[in-house]
Amino acid sequence: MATTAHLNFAALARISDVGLRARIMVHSYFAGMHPSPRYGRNAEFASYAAYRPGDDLRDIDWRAWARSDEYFIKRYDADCTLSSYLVLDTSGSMCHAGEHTIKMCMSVTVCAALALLMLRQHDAFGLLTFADDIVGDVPPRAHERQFTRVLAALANAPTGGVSRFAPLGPALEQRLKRKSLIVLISDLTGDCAEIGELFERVRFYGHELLCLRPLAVEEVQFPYHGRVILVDAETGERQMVQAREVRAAYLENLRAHGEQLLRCAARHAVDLETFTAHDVSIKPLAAYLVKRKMAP
Amino acid sequence: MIGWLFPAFLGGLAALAVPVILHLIKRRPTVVVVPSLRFVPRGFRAYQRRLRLHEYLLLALRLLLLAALVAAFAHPFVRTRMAGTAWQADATVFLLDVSLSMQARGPDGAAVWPAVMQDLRARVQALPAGHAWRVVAYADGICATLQATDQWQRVLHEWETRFPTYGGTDYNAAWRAARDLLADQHGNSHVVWYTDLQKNALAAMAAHHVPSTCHVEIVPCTPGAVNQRIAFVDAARITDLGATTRVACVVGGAAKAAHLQVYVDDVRVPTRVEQCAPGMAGTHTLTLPALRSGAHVVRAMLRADDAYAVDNQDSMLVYAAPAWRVLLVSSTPVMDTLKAKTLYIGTAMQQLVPGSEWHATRATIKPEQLATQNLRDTRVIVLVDVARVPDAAVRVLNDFVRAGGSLLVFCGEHTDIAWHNATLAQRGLLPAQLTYATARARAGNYTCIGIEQWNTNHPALRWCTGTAADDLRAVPFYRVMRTILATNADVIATFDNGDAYLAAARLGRGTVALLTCTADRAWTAFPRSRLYLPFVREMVRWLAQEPDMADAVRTEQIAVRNAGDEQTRPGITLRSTVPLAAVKNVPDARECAGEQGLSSAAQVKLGVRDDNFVVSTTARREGKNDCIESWLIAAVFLPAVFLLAALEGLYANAVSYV
Repeated sequence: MATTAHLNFAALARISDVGLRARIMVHSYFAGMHPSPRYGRNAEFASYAAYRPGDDLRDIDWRAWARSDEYFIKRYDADCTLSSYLVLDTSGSMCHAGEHTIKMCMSVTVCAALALLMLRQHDAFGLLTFADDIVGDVPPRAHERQFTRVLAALANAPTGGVSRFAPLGPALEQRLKRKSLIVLISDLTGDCAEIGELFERVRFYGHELLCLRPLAVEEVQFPYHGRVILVDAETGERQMVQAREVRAAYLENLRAHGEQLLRCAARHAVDLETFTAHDVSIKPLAAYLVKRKMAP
Repeated sequence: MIGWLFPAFLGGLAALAVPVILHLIKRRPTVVVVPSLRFVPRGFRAYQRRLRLHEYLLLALRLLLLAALVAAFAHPFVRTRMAGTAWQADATVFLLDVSLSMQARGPDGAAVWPAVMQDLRARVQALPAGHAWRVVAYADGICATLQATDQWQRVLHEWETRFPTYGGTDYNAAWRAARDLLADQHGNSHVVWYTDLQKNALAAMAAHHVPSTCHVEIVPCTPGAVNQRIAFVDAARITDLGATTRVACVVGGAAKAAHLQVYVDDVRVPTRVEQCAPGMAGTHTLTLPALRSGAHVVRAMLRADDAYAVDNQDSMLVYAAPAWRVLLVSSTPVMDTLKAKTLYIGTAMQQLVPGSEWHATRATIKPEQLATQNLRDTRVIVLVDVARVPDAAVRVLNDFVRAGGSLLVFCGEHTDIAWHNATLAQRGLLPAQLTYATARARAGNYTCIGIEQWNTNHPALRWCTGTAADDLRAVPFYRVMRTILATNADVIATFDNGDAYLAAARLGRGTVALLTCTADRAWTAFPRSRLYLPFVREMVRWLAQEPDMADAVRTEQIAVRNAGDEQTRPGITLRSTVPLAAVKNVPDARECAGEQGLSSAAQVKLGVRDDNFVVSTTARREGKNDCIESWLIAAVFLPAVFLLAALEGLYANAVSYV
């Protein structure tokens, strides 16, 4: 895991193939680890339970019967398949181009890397893209070709528009019939109330929600000088300001918005991870793996 | 006390307005796409319409940078003497230039030297009693010195006529003397320097360490301190084709050393003197190579060594003619004896001054020597009281005159009248028949006759007007030869008794003339008159068919041209004809007004104020005029310029403000 710190996303972004970028990211993340094949039944012992008629005779622990002359059955952790949905924001704000990286490029790479990771976990995964409405949908599947489908959907996803989170809740509710892990990749520049409503609705149906919030370096630092015309990437609205004078207020507003999002996420037990180009190769994957363990 | 050596550069402070304007004007803003404007405070939108300065610190850096740059160029210096305090000198040294260049004249023709002496007297008289002063007259070296005595006015009066000398100028000697005189002087001193500021003048002053307690005052003396001209003062007829000839010219102004270049018909010719030393104000002789026969344009030009624009060229049209000879035929050809009949006329035709307008040579032979081979380059044959010549010589004379030569016959006691009438007059070689010689009259006696009338339009006697005419009428003639004029004869001068004195007639292409009196003092006192020389010369010149100098030699005024490549090979334009008297050009001081120059030693500005030519000089050398500027430049301004430039670059890059 130590090697991931050296992965430079600015260099990685120059690779045009999203799949290759995802593989490099995942392989670099797992470098030095010893993956074990997971074939056959899950051998993870959980507890003993008294035999009741109807239980599978293969679960009876005969050694325990020999010692205690009672029938016990062994309980193992269920080796269930996790259904995950990658939800990608393709609004105009995600198309912000910084000096070295583009947020959308960063998000697509993270999305593909997570898909590859899910494929390795034999989890079913799908892709949902949205802006002001749902613009693309790849239903969750758990086979090899699903990764190719997701990559194609990522490559063809239309971008632009205003990000609206209100339609996202019903769409997810309609597509997910059982508890799933939802990975939302968005800069969450929308209204906090709307975002909180989404969190609440998703959590109400028992889904786990992981929010990955990509931010550009320029967005965080506001490194502009002199008079600049700021153009809203979503609405096209223009505002001319003196950069040095508005920098402090801008950063304060951005920080306040982030804190509000964190409070909202904490209230609904949603994991919110903000990352930039500096830590894009480690934060999203680590957050997913942590969330994967807690997934239903 | 800080002063500025080149205060004109302070005008560069106007450039300070440029960064101020740049920081005031609205620049085209940078367009930046941000994810959302929701984080940008709305209250700052009104800012875009306000006119205000941007980037105060950067603006201040740029203003300081420009100011330091301008200050470095303006060459600041520190006066070691307190300004505003009256300069009280305890001793005064007058350095008086008495070189040849002080003979220069101003634009109005007034000589510089008397004005210099008058100024010197006034300054000495104005000195307080007991003030130590010394006058050092210098040219090639120290010529004379004068100190405070009771006789100083008399000495200065002597100097006024004694100087200027014909020497050049040695400024180093003058300043060495000044330095030695001031060496033992404690307290303030004053040096009044009369100079025409020739080329190395200021350098010489800078080379000698004048103490800081010494105040140097320069009194410019030459109106052409910067501008100099060359002009031909005398145009000459060039003879002796195939030999080297000489042309006189004068270098006016004599401000600086210069190269003398001479062009003949637009072809540069090497001259013996190429480098004209400073102070050369006077007639300078150029040596020209052999010229072809005919008119030539000779242009002399001075090219100064520095960058001053000078109108320093002059040209003249010279007439090159082949040398010609006057052949005197006499039975007593030895001239050196006082009894020789050709003594006076031969002397009159002698070339008295080399390079003068008389270019003919003369030779004396006996009548028996008259032969064709002896008539080479001969234009005039003069028979000086010859009794008779051989018959072969008569034929030679006849052919000579008819071919274009001239024959002049002087009568006398030895003249064989019968032979002359039968031989010469019969062939037309005499314009009159000789009859007899009159009786001799005594000098002072009323029986003496004189010339009464002459043709004032005739070339031989055109010069004789005014007092010369009166003098000519007063010349006594004791005895004359009476004549009977031929029909084609032209009487040029007659005596008061009606007899002809000078008669002439044409024969073929030539001219024959008869003078009814002797060429020596036997029959007349005319050879002892001051009019005899011009009479003989002009008569011989007329007989030789030599064109008049005024018609043959012209000088041209050439338009002023700036120094440059054009002068290296000038195109000559003959525009007008001016009389010889107007050839000498005098440098016009007013043309020099506004001129300024900058040398390694000083900055010189020229101007005219109240009809005075003013040269203001600012010394540049360290420690020479009480200024210290080098350490100010080196230690303050230049590092400040570099430091400010570095800071400005770094800060402008940091704030991305161009």
